[in-house]
Amino acid sequence: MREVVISGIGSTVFGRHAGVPIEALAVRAAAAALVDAGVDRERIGALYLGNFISGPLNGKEVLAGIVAEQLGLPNISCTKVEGACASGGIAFRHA
Amino acid sequence: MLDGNRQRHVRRSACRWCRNDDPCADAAGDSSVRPDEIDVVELHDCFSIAEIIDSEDLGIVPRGMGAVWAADGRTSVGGDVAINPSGGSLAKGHPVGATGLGQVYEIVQQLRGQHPNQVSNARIGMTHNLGGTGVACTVSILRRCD
Repeated sequence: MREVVISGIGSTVFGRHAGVPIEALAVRAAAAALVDAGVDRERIGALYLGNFISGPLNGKEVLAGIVAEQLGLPNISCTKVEGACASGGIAFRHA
Repeated sequence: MLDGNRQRHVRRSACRWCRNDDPCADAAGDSSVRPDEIDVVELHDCFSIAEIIDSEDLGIVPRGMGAVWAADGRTSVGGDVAINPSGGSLAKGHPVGATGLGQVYEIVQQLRGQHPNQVSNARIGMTHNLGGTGVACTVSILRRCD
């Protein structure tokens, strides 16, 4: 297994976010992680997003590409994964 | 630093999610870390009983002792192994798909020594993320870089 380093983290607070679009939560957390890592956006090669039932609950799909665009990460590989409550963990594994 | 990481469909019984050849053991095998070396764990407590089952499945608490260790404070901060010092998934409202990455966020804070409920000198941490009725599971072992 080659060496893998987590260079930055970000999170919103957990709770009610009335009126906030679901993709905005991911953008806030990811932007915080980029600042924490001190990595230029140009060096990001791919985005993996884990989500469960955003379609039925929020009426929104294809979140990975939407989040990448709003983050200012155009023209990178974008993938959304779903594994119920393990969606986030699976996205982390793929990244 | 990511020290071990596995994903697997897991088998179930009433008292356990996995068997001995499970992703927990695989992740530990990747990293050559023994369960008793792990300082802090964020595991998938989607329900109270799940924390007890998970802690035994992961091998960090002896089989059948999950509830006893929790009641005795042995899985609290300052105990044998800290389980869910963040408060866990129930404290976060069981945020389904966000659970796994939230766990990574918590463990990285612990390994940096920056967590609001800090485990003293945490060097090795584990995340454990279940999906559905146990149809998917990821386990990652993270080690402090120093």
